[in-house]
Amino acid sequence: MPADIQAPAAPLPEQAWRRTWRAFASNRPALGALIVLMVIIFAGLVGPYLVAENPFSMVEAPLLPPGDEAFLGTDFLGRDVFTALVHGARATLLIGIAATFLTMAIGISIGAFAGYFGGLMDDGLMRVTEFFLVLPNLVFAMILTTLFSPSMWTVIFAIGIVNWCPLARLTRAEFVRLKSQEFVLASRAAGAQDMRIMMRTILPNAMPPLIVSITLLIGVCILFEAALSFLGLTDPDIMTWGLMIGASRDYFWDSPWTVAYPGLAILITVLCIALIGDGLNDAFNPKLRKR
Amino acid sequence: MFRSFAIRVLSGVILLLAVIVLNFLLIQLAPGDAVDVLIADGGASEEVIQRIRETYGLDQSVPTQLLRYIAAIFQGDLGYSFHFNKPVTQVILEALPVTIMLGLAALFISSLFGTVLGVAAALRPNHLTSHLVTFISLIGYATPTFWFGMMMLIAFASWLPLFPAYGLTSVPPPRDFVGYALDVSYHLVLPAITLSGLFLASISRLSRASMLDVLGADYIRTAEAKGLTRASVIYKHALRNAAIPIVTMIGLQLGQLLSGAVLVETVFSLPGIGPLLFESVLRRDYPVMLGILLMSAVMVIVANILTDLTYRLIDPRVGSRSNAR
Repeated sequence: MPADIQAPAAPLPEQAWRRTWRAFASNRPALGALIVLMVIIFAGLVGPYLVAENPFSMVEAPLLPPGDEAFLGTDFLGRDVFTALVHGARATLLIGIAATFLTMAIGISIGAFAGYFGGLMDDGLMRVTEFFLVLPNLVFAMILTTLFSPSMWTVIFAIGIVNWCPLARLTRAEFVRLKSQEFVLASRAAGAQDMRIMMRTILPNAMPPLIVSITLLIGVCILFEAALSFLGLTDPDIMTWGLMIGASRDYFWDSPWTVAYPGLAILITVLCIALIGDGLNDAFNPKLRKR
Repeated sequence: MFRSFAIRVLSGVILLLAVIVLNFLLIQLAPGDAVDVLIADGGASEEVIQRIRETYGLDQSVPTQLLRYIAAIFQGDLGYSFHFNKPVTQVILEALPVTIMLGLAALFISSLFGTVLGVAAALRPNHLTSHLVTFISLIGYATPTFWFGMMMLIAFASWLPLFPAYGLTSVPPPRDFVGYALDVSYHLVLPAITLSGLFLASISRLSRASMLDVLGADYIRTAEAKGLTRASVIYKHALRNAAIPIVTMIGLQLGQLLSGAVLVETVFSLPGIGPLLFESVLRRDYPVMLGILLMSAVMVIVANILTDLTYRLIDPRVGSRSNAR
C-alpha cells in the first residue's frame, strides 16, 4: 500500500492544528469555559471517592436547607444534595458522552456513505434521514425507552437513535464538497480503496466543521439525558442530575435547593460546552471572527 | 410551482406511510398485546381469549394486520385506549388544542423577541449589545427547559405570586367567553415564556447571522445610496430578506417545539399532549403513546410542506424551473 504518498492539496495537519489552538486560546470565554469544564470532569472522576460512597443513602433529616448540617441541603429522603451532585457529575457526563459517541457513529457513517457514493445510496440514506427528522425527538425517545424498559443502555441507545440526523446531513455535505478535490483524486490514483479514502483521506479533512457540531452535540445529549431522567425514564439506581430534579418534582415548591443546584450544574456544564463550541467555530473559521 | 408542490405532498404521504409502518412494528415489539391488557385481572378462559383475539383481528397474519392497521388509520382510527375507555383519536384530540395554543404562543414570543435581539445585535456587531445577545442565546441553549419552568414557578408564582402555578383555568372557570379566554391566557403566560426560551436562542442567532449577511448585500448599499432613511432600509429592505431563513427554521423545528411542549406541560400540569404522553408511558398505554407519535409526525410533515410553500411565496428566487425563467 503506497501509504506514504503525500496528498498535494491537504493542509499540513500539525501546523494547522497548532494555529487553531492558538486562535482558540486567544478567545477568553472559550478558554475559561474549557477550564471550568475540566474542573467539572475532574470532580466527576475523583469526587465520588472524596464524598460519601453512596449518593442514595439517607444521611440527615429530610429537606434540610443548605447550611452547616448539609452544605447544599438534603432532599425529601434526607439524601445529601452535594454528594448526589458529585456522583451525578460522573454518571451524567458518562451517559452524555457515550450517547454522543453513538450519535456520531450513526450520523457520520450515514452521512459519509451518502456523500461519498452518491446516487441511489445517497437518495436512500437521505430519505431515511428525513424519516427520522419527522419524528419529534423527545416523543420518540420516550416511546423507545418505554418499549425496551428504561435502563442506562436504553437511554444511550434512544438518544443516539433520535439525534443523529443533523450530523449526517452535515457530514454528507462535507463529503460531497471534498470528494472531487485533488488530494482525494490523488489518493484514488495511488490505488486506495473506497473505505480507506473515506476514513483516512476525506474524514480528517471534514473534521473541522464536524468538531464544532459534535461539541454542541455533547451538550444536546446531556440535556436529552436530563429530560429523560426528569421524566423517570432511566435507571433509578444511577444518580444523574436529571434524576435528582425529577425525584424532587413534588418538593421543589418549598425546597427549591433540591432542584436548583442540579439544574445549575446542567446549565453550567452545557454552557461551557457551548462556549467551547463557539470558540472552536471561530478558531476554525478565522474569516467569521473578523466581523 | 404546482408540480413541485405535488411532489412535496406525495413525498409527505410516503413519509407518513413509513411512520405508520414504524408504528405497527413498535406495536409488534411491545410486550403483550391488547388482549393481555384486557385480561390483566386474570380469570378469562382460553375460549374467551380466543374470541377476543378474533374480534380484534389479532389471529390474522402479520401482513394482513398491517394492511388493516393502515386502512384503519386512514379512516382516523388510531386504536382504543382501555384506560380511558375511549378511542385513541378522541383522547388525543381532546388534549391537542392546549398544546397547539401553548406552541403558538411560544412561537410568537420567541419570533418577536428573537428577531428584535438578532437585529439589534447585527446592527452593532462589535458593541456590547451584540455580546449580550450572544450570551443570552447561549444561556437559552444550555438551560434545561423543564428546569427553567420550575425556576419560573419559584420566581413568579411562589416568591412573587404574580401568576398561577398550574392548570389551564381557574377553579371554577369563568362562565363568559371573554373571561374564559383571558383566564386561559393568564394561565399560559409562564408556560409560553418557558417554552419560548428554547427557540429564543436559535432564532436570535439565526436572525443575527442572516441580518449580517443581508446588510452586506449590494441592494442594501443601493437603497442607502438612494438616500432612504436608515429605518426604511433596515425594515423594508434588510429585514424582509433576512426573515427568509428564519421562517424556514421555525417550520423545520416544529418537532422540537412539540418535544419541548411535552416537558413544559408536564411541569405546569397543563392538560395537553405532554402529560397525556407522560402518563401513558407510566401506565404503558401503547395505543395512546403510538397514536401521539403518529399524530405528531403528521403535524411535522404538514408543517414542512407549508414551510416549503411559504418559502417559495416569500422568496421568488427559489422554486421550480418555470419560476426561474
